[in-house]
Amino acid sequence: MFRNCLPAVILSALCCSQIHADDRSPVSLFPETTVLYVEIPHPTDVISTIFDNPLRQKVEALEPYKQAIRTEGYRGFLAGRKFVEIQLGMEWREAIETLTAKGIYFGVDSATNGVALLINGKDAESLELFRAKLLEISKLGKNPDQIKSGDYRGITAYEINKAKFAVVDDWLLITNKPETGKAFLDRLIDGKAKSSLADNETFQAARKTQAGQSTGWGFVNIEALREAGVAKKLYGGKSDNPGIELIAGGILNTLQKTPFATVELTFNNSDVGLQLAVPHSNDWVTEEREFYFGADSQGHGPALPELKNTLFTLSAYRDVSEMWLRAGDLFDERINDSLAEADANLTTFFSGKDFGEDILGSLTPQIGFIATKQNFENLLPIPAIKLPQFALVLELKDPEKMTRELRRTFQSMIGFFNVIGAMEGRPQLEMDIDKLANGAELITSTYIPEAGEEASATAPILFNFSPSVGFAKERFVVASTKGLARELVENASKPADTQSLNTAVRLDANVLQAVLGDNREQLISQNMLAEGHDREEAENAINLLLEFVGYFKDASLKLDVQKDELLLKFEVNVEGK
Amino acid sequence: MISNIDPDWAWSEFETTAAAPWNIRSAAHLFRRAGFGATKSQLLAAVNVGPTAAVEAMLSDSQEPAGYLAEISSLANAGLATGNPKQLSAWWTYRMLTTDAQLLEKLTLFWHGHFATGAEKVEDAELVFAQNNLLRKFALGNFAELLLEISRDPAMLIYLDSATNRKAHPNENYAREIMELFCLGEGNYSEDDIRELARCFTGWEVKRGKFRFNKYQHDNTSKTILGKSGDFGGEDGVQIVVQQNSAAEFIVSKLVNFLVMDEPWPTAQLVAPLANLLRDNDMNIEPVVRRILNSNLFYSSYALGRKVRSPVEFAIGFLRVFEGSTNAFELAETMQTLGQGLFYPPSVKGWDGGRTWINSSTLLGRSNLILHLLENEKTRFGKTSLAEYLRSINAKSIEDIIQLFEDCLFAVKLPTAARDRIRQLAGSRQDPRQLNEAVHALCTLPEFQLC
Repeated sequence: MFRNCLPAVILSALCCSQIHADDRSPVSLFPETTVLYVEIPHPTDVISTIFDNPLRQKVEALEPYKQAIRTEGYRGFLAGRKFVEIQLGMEWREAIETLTAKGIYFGVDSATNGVALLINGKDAESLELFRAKLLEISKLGKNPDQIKSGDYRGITAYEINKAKFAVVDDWLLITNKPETGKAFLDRLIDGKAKSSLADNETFQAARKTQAGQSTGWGFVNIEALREAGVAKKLYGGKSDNPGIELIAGGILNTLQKTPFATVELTFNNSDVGLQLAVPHSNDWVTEEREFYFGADSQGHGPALPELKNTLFTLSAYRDVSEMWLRAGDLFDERINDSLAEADANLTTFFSGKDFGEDILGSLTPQIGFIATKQNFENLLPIPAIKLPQFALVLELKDPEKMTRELRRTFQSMIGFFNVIGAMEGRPQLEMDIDKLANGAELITSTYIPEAGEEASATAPILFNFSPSVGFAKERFVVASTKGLARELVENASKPADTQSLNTAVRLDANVLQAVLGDNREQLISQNMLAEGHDREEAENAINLLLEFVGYFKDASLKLDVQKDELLLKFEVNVEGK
Repeated sequence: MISNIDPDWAWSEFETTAAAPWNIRSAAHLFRRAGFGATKSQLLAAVNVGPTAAVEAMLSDSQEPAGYLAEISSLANAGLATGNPKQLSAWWTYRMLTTDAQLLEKLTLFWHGHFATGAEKVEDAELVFAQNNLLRKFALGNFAELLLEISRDPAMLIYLDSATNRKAHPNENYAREIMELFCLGEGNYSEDDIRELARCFTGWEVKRGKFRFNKYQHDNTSKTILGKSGDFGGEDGVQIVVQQNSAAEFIVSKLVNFLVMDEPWPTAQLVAPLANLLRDNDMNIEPVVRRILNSNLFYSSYALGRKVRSPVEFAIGFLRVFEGSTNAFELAETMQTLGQGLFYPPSVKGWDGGRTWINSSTLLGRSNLILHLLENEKTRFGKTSLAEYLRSINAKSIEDIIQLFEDCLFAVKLPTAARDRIRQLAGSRQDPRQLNEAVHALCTLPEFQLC
């Protein structure tokens, strides 16, 4: 690596003055041209969270874990670890804590196209011990000659495979390019450079948005990447995929203009959170992306009713009618041709009503999706694979006008399913209409089992479904089961509209565990076939999966569109039941 | 020359001689042909009890324990719940790898090739599974009953486009196949017999996955089949066919082909004693299988190494000998790529077998299959690595390993040059990578393709 510049190095080393240790803040060590920067300032906290987490003890108490650590491979790993511990004179946790005591910093430099990892250890003595011992251990390996070394301004740098590293006082530098390495060594030796990342205005603006003490923080100079033509498609503004457009079209829109993105990681005993933030302005929202944000970027998803055993909820603001009608601006010709064909078919299906304008346009942009665990106690036949039930919870702009239209369309659809089902020998759907006391209306359909199969406990998968729609004032429900449709129209009073997020998704781990538990036998069988396990092994594996899921509470994803910022938060909460 | 074989000698009880001893290699031959393969300890146990008792044990093992049956049934139900017949391929692969009733399973595979029905066309996992159970139920049972049941089997009728058979338009498909492929063989019937038999089957239908006799569509007039006349129904037609002398000869010839040698097709003179045995036992298969597996011919040079391993025998055999387990989905898929998809035979004729298993593409595929099994983390041998497993059974040196392979897996002696090459590949140190290379090399030898 640095060998090519040895003559200059020696001269430089002679001129090398005293190191200005006090000037070496991590950010000042990275060049101004850094386009990606990540820091974990207190790795000991992360290590402590991992090692001292109650979840770790629970996992270690599991029988499959105990079996895993008895394997030859794991024993080999332990022997290797012990050897390193003896060499270093400390246990591996202490070794990691010592090595990373004052932080881990990573960056990508656009000027040299290099990456650099800086690890700030406890003190210079500790780092020197690590350097010496790890070199000794490496030399015991199969190919001791692979370690090369050279000097740069009095600092010995090493190369193993393609990684280059050097230790300067309490800093360990690992990089992939000699030029990047030299630039970092200069900063480490001199303490202060003419310019550094700290002087970068975009970085300074990003730094100001940092909320508080996070476990990890990252910065991406989107503007620089955009100008450099990196990942052009990401900043191109088009997704060319209706699914991605619906999920992330607004984010893609903002990425076209935003100068930077920051990432914040929080990590503690009870949750793991990751927040992506990008500056946002309503002025940046193009006309075709208004369907995503709403007027003044104020669109928000609906508050969804709280149901028992809710597995998954999605609440989002999306004007799908507008998106459908603006498809020509959003997608390429191929997608538009497919959408035009779908539009023609759907218009026929909806009795000549224009699908985009009349059908989708009859819905408000507030879209809800809810999935709950099915209760099979009073259901016959019982399907062998037990799926959750799910429903779209929508709102009609003009229920008087649209209820009749949608009811008739649903009836046609069930008739269509029955014709296709009869051709393929599948059970038929029987329809029913139910008027509820609160004025709500349910149109349900139920699969009729074959004679003799009415009480089966291993019925085909389609017995999970009883497609139904429900109407209750403005609420329009399209559900996979009549039970869920009924629950949603009976519980039609609009929940307090506390929702302010553009998009909110939540998965409940405890309900997920129950759903998986319902299918335990199925999962065991699949495990036996896919892993070659015997029944006992498969039971252990599935029990482990179920227990592991039970250690979590929930996971959520939220898209919060604020006046000047767009926040995407992902969170996993531990502490399940 | 097969025509020179004395049938009396051929089917007499196996007498050990210096040229045909009863040892670990002949026991391995028995397990390869009447099953998929056996571990060294199973082979040594068989050597101890002698050939007759070993065959009896295989026959009596056909009654599987209730616990295993419950487990395997639960596994099948899980596959059926998805409605995907591919799940059943994996299920059968798993069963072949784990069952103690190897002979029963091997004969179920034989009947699957004989009464070939492809899930691709039937498209109903429940129906092909029901047929598989039917084949297993009668694998060693009464052929006449099996033929009647299969004639009413919904999967078979759908596969042969015979789900509707009206008197105005008798469907000749099934009538033709029952004579040509299932029971008599070519030359033992006329086109008139086919037409008349088809009339017997009129009114036989499949409705919503179930067999149904529609009396209004049955042709009640007189028919003449194979020299017999009367107002025959489908059941009568099947009985007339199975009572033909050629029926017993055809079935035992196919069994000899399957259990003893790929080619040539056995002469009528050679199979006559077995055909008589089948007839004398009211078309029960078990006595014939017992006689074949206990015969001089079975352990003679006419049989040893005279079959080409089918993809199933190749893969399942390799794993069973070393108590192997793996991802059954992947293995079933690979066996299909190599030409033997369980539940997916290529046509109503089943698999041609023999030399047709091997071509440049399938040879490469077999090599890749072994490589994949050895490198796949889901493949375990006795629940551990191959190296550890071999150590546990005292196959420590490369010489031990070569000997183990030769005893348990090779139908013929390993050439010296091949042995030398394996020694070279294994090297002096037995690291797992070198061991895998040596094992892979052993399994890609031309001799390994023989059964």
